[in-house]
Amino acid sequence: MKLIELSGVSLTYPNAVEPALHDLSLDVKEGATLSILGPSGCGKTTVLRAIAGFEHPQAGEIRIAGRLVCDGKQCVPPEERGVGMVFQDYALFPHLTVTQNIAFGLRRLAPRAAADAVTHILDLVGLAGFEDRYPHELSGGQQQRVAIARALAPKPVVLLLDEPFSNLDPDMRGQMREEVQEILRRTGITAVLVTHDHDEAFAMADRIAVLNRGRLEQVDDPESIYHTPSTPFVANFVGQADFLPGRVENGKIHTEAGVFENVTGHPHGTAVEIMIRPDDVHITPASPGTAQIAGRQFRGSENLYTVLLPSGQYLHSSEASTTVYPIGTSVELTVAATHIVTFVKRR
Amino acid sequence: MTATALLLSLSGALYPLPAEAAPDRLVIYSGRKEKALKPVVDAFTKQTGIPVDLKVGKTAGLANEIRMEKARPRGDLYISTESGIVEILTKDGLLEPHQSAATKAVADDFKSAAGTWTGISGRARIILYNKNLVPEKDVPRSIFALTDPKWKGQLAIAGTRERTTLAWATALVASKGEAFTRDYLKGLHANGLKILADNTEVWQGVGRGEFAIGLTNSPNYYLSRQNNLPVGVIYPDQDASGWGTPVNPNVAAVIKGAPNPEAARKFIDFVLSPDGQRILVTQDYEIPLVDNADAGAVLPLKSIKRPAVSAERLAELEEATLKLLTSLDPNW
Amino acid sequence: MTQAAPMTLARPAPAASGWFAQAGAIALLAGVGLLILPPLLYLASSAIQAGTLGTLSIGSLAGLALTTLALAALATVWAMLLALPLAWLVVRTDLPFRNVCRWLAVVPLAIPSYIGAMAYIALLGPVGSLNAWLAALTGSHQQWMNIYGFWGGVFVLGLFTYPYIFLLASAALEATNPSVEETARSLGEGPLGVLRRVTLPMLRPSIMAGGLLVFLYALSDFGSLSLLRVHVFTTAIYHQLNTRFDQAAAAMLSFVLVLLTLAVLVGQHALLSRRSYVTITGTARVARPVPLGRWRWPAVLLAGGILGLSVFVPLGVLIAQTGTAGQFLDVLGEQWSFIKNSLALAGAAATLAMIVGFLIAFSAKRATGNTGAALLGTIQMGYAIPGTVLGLSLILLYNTYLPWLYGTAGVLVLAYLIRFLTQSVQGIDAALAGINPHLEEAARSLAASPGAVLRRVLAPLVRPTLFAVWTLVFISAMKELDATLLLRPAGFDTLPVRVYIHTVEAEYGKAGALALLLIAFTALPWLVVTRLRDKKLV
Repeated sequence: MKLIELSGVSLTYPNAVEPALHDLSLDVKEGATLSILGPSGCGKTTVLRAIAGFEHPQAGEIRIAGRLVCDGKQCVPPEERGVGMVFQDYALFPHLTVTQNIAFGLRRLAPRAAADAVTHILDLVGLAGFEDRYPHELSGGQQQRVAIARALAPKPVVLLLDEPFSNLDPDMRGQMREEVQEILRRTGITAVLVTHDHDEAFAMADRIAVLNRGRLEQVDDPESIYHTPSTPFVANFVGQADFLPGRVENGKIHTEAGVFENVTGHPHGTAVEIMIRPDDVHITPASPGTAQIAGRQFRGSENLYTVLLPSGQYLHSSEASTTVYPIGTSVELTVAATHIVTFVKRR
Repeated sequence: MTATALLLSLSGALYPLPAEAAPDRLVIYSGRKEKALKPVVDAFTKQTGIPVDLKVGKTAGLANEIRMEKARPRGDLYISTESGIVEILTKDGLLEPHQSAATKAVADDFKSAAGTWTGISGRARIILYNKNLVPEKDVPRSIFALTDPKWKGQLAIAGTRERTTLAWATALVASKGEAFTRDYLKGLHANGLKILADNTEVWQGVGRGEFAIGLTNSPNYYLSRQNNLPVGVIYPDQDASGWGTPVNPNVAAVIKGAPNPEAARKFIDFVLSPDGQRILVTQDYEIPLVDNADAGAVLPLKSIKRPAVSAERLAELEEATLKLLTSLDPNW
Repeated sequence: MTQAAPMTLARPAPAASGWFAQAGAIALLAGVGLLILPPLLYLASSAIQAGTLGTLSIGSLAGLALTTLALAALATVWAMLLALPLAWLVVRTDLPFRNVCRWLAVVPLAIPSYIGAMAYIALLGPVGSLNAWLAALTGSHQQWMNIYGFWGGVFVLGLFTYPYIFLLASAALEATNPSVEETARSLGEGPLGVLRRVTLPMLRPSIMAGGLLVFLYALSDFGSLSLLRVHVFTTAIYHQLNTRFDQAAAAMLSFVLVLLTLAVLVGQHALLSRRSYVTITGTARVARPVPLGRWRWPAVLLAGGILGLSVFVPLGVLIAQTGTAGQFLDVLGEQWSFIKNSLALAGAAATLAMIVGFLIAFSAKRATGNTGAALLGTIQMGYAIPGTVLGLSLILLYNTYLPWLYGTAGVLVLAYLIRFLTQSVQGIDAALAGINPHLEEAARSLAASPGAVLRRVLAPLVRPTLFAVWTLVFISAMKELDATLLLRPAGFDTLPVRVYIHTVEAEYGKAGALALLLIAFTALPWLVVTRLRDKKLV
């Protein structure tokens, strides 16, 4: 069942030339986690705020659990939408304790039931024992757990997370990601997560929507987004990618690095670009080879080589962490593309 | 927000806001000092049982207020420290005539021809001098002697903010003419006459020795004495050929459209009664205006030589006098 | 665990709470407009109707404007010279008794400037105590000292208004992150260089805001300047009204004064349009006090000198004037009802100003376009109308249109609101601007209506500010004289009115005792609030 539906949503801020959101259609299935991914300024936070009710689109419809909450003219205010929101800066109430922060949205419950709910949720986020602390007495990770607990406590229809991990140390980030994923799994709640970090999106989401300058580029599962991006923008944004020029001849795509299947069926003679990820490129030293190693970045779990082709084109190759060749080594390329993604060459 | 509720209820508990003045109360707007009037008011309430609300302020300030309240008057009785202003209010139709047996006993030049106001007591213009600074033999007997260079830098007077000053200058214009008055005032200015904010500053300045000589009103002499200040008094120009010295009345008038005019009339009659006059005289050394009232320690009206100028004439000339004064010095 | 939500609604109903909030905001704006605009419009129309300067000339008007502006500017500079060293000493150094100094530095606000002027005239007037002592000492009767005139006005006004700057500057000094100053030291600046290039520029918004309050106070003050024989707009207006009986000329003068004030406000707005707020969140480290070393006692002398001039001298003069404790108690008993009047009026005005100010600042923040700025500007103009003029116009307006209100103490509360609402709105507006907007959104997403957000999140967060503005308005209302003299119902006097009456009638003992009472009751809430703040109760 579609829990959240956006259809044809457009939004332009006052005094802005370009729309922040342009004819956006999206949906999220009940219990799923959707990640909205894109560079800063692409409108991803605007989508979240429109779902929450803080922004009012000028056109299009938004439905939450089948209920029309915005039709481009009238909007249901945030407090009547049943959404939980976790802000980038957590936005904890500095004048309230952990318990009071979490109980903030539980006004309609009897005090007893509210206290039980707080206890339950504190256990869920692993903050039992911190009940009477004030926000400034907590670490960053603890503050974030309070923010999530506070949003979950009133049992919202959907949980909206706005760049929730960006304020954490890198160490903490990975740990919190796992914890939040676990919390989402255990509660079974539908979630929308906004991020500019594709690793975060891959790790957390069932589906990813990539946004660019207010327009939707692609919505798909993480694997498809990575392996079969539908636009060069997506291909580039979700990971290291090289674009090799090629030409369709006799049903095959001929490039400097080899010949590939013309899976999309471009007509004969079409100039195309084929997307190649580093993990599809394997290099072996050879003399004389077809290419030369121009650089190496050691990344711990891998070595990322930059390889110079005779035409001057660069290609990247991911090799095992222990495989070390000196710069200048002459190499032979093996491109074993598991997914062949081609784009008609841009002029 | 409980604190707010607390604060609000606290203010409420301290004082329930008073309702609109009840019609059985007398509301007096008084330019006259509270200290001078309060004993009379108390005696009035005691005798008649009518409670009084007193609003004390500056004579002209209260007159402005009466003007502003014209559509729905709030005061019953207006007490002014001088007659020019009640003449203006009479012209504006803001006062109600009151004539009674009691007002008949007031000398004619101290009440309105139209009956809209009545003098209740008087104050003579005097020369107040500091006994330490002015030897007995040098004491000036005439205001016209003050242009003598020997008084240079030693003279003070209140500005026209004190309307008695304006009345005094207007009386000069009325009886001596504008040209004469201008020359005389120029002479005073040439002598470094200091124009002060009010008469209190004059008598205190003279009493403490800031000035040797001040032009002010007769009660201030008694007030200075009461404060043990070394001052003497001259009622100027009293010899046979002299100009005399003006006596300015304090005045009472019923406000037109007043909520409680009957009480106001009763109050005027009470002030003019022997009891009322005696309190005013003993309390603030004012000169009784009613024939054969007991003047006590004060020089009685009949012993003071006065220039003959009617209140109506004073009112007519006031504007021109003011122009004359400010043309000489904007501080007037 | 998803919540069973209504699945049927086809069209979103406009939220009822949102509609109410909207209607409430509009009603609020209308109310404020109706409160403040009529006296201003009345003033403008009577000035235009008069169309003449009456007995005034353009030259004298220009001279008056020049004197008034020069006086206000110099008083502001003087107030800064008093406030800034004191603020720095009590916040940033190991000055002995600095907590006491900090509390005392605000007491001058409780001393009405006309009472301060009275005290200094008694001391430094031509026949004041100082001249008498010097004469006795030297045997020469020359006049050593004369407080009357322009410089006396500057001296007294600065002395009793510098706490406006002190309060804001010391708060800002406390909030600034000391590591910024330490960075400057590490970059090779000496202590004075840091003061000049880092600390003072960081404090500039607070100094400007406090300076503006002093400047506006000086523009609108009548009582002390009249006593000190300075000729400025307010005294000229009073003169026109109370001697000339000339309301047209008074209206013209007032109109020019309001325009002057307006120009000052517009100028300030332009200067501060890029203002930066000191962040109130975050865990700013408390700066380590600068050790004064051998400057310790000179610093004590300086702080003591400032507090002596602004607190101890006037209080001392008043105490000497009052006489014995018995006489003081007599006055207390005799005038208790007037004390009650003052407390009730100032309390009601402060409470209303606090609530209305909060609602207005909240609505202004939300208003689209320039509505918010226009609203705040309108409220600031209320402060620009001289009290006497405001009093007269309110008599006419309220006696005509709201006769049931006029003649009650309610009209005084409204007059105080017109004059002092801006103090509350400005303070709360600044505090609200420092609050992370996400807090509000978080509350909305937790099903809190706008009203609930106001009550449960914003109000508690600005609570210290609410107490502060309550105190500020209470202090101002306690001291108000000009409008009160005209608008008070007969028989309903306040403490300042009693001080005025007894001063005019030369009953200095009573005036002194009442002035002391007035100062005590005005300072009282400040004492309570600071005590509560020290104990972290507000």
